[in-house]
This record gives sequence, structure tokens and C-alpha cells, in this order.
Amino acid sequence: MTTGFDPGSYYAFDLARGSVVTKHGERVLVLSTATVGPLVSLAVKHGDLTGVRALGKRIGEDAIRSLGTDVRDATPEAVVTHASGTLAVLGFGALTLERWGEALVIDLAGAPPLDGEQLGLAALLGGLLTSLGGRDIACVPVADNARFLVVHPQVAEEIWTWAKEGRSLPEIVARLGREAA
Amino acid sequence: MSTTVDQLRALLSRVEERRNGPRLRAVPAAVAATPAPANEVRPAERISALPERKPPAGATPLENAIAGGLSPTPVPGNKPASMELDLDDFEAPQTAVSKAPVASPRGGEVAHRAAPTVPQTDPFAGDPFASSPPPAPAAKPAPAPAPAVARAPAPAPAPAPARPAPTPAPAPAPTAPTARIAAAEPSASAPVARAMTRARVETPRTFGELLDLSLSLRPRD
Repeated sequence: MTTGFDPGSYYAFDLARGSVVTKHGERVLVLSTATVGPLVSLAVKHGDLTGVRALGKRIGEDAIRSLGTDVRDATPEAVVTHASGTLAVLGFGALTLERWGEALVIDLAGAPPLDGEQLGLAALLGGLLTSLGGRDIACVPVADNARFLVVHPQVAEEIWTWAKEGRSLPEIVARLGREAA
Repeated sequence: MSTTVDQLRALLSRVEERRNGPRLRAVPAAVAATPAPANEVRPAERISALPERKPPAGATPLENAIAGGLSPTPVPGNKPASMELDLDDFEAPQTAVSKAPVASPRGGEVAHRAAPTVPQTDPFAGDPFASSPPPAPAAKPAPAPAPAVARAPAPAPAPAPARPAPTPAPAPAPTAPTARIAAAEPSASAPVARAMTRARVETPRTFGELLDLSLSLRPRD
């Protein structure tokens, strides 16, 4: 039985050393979004969001430790509880999962503005789900703000093109079908 | 004036002596010139160390500050500079200062807000969904997506090859989420939303099943 997310003592502030460490022992920086935003925008411009994706993976590993059980066998609600809590204490917004038919959509309410195309957040969430799912997963920002479609990386590019053409989330979901076994 | 300085200097010297003892009265040159041990913190680094935060011993800095502040600057008219100051002299600085605080925060705020939304000339130069860094810039993928300007829906969309309409499709696409899975933590008493899926849609029980279902989706041709 999984427990709820415990945000208490997530951070340890060591003023003598001038460091902030999470309860999992990882040293972190507290940065303004006005600082991180341009950095992420620059990464988007250069087409290399590996660092942001790696950050998402670390967040996912934190969520797994917080969950304490096997992620794949846990209920969706339990996973969302811990993933959302971990993202929230880092200031990345409130995560909710939505099912649109067979498609899985992430709604990240109150997310910080990092880049205009939301690709930074998409990379972050892709890394998070990759950790949680144990395999490569991509998240594509769709027309609706702060919504990300969870897809296989092979089809991410095509779905991103649809989203850039202005297709709405229902339209995009309607154009997807289950892969033949 | 010089009497006041001397009195102040004597007073400071007595206070220092009373507080720190006579050994701080004067630092012998030999002690000051002694090289620090290898493991001793150098003076430049002592600034941040807590035990060294008390004021420096000795009257030398104070002496210089007082002497510098009270020495009149000779001017061509052979009068001390302080004698030429008038109340009118302060008008210009006051008005100049009063404008600065108003203008500066606004400008700063605008600059901060504008920073994340700077339009990007080439927003999608590489593959943002890739889990590995892209190759060298020379090996950039050929079909680079259109820039941000083309993101808005084009007035005349490209002729899509017989795009199936969502409604007449055999399995109508959802226009709203069929289920919402929220974190239970913020409102533990709130009922977790149940999956109100259609009969044909399977209801995954575990997170792994949920992921598998979504990852199996591919574009229909």
C-alpha cells in the first residue's frame, strides 16, 4: 500500500556551506524562472534539450523513491500523487493525468514559462515519464496550453507537426490508432 | 578642528584598549610580516569567516577615514570647499534621485517578463524529444520544421490526403478527457475521478498498463 507524498523536509538548507540538498542527497539550486527561462529557450534554439530531459529523469527517480513500490504495478493515482508532489516542490506546476480515449495526456497547471513553444517542459516531462515507465517516452506539447500528449518517441515528431499546424487535441487523438500487434 | 580629531583619536584608542587589551594597541611589524602557516586562511578569505567579522583592531582605518573626511579641499578662491556649499546646490541631485526609483523597477520588471517570451528565430533546430544530444550542427536533419511564424494555423491548409473527419469515424474521438487522474494528496477526501470510458476502451488498472496503451498509439494512415 503506497502512502501519500510527504513534502516535509524535502530540502535541507546548509547555511554554513551555502548549499541546498534534497532529502535524497542531491544538491540543487534555487533559481528564478527569469534565469532558467532564457537558458531553456537557448537550449530549444540549439535543438539540444538533453539537459532538461536529464533533469526530468532525476525528478522521476525522486518520485519513484517517494512512491516506494514498483511503478508499473502501482495505481495511476498513486504514481500521479508522487510525481505531482515531486514536481510541485521543485516549482514545476501541478501535474494531472488525463485519459483521452486510449491516449494519455499530461496537464501541467501553473507551470513556469520557460520557452514559448513549451518544448522545455515537454522534454522535462518526457524525462520524468521515461524514469517512471522504464523506457523511452516522449511528451509532445499540443495546442491546448500546458497539455502534453504521451507518445512513443518514434511518432513524436509527426504529432508535433500536427500540433504546429493548429490541430486541437481531439483532432490529434482522432488521428491516432492502436498499433497492430 | 584638529583638537576634536585628537580627542576622538584618544577616545577611540582608549576604547580599543579597554575592549581588546593592550596587545591590540599596536601591531608589531615583525608579527605582521610573519608569513602565515600553510593551512591558515589567507586574509582575503577571512572576510567570510564568522570569527573575523568583528571590526579590525587598531585605529589606522578610522584615523584615515576621519582625516580624509575633515580635511578641507583647497579651491582657487582659497576657501574650504565646504564653505561654498549652498542649499541650492542640492536641488539638482534631489530631483535626479527622485526619478530613479520609479523608472528603474518598471524597466526591470518589463525586462524580466519579456525575457522568457523572446521570439525565437529558430525554435526547433533539433529534435527536442530525443533522449540523446543531437549530432554536430553540420549534420542537422534536413526536414527542419517551420519557424515560429508558421505555427499559427494557415488560412489555406495544405491539401491533406483524405483526412478522416472525427465524427463519422467508427470510433468517435473524445472531445474531452474520458478520465482525469489527479493526485490524491492535496484533497484526500475528494473522490478520485473514475474512468468513465466507453465500453470499447479498456480501463487500465495499473500505471504500466496506462502507459502501454498510450505508447501503442500510432498515426493512422
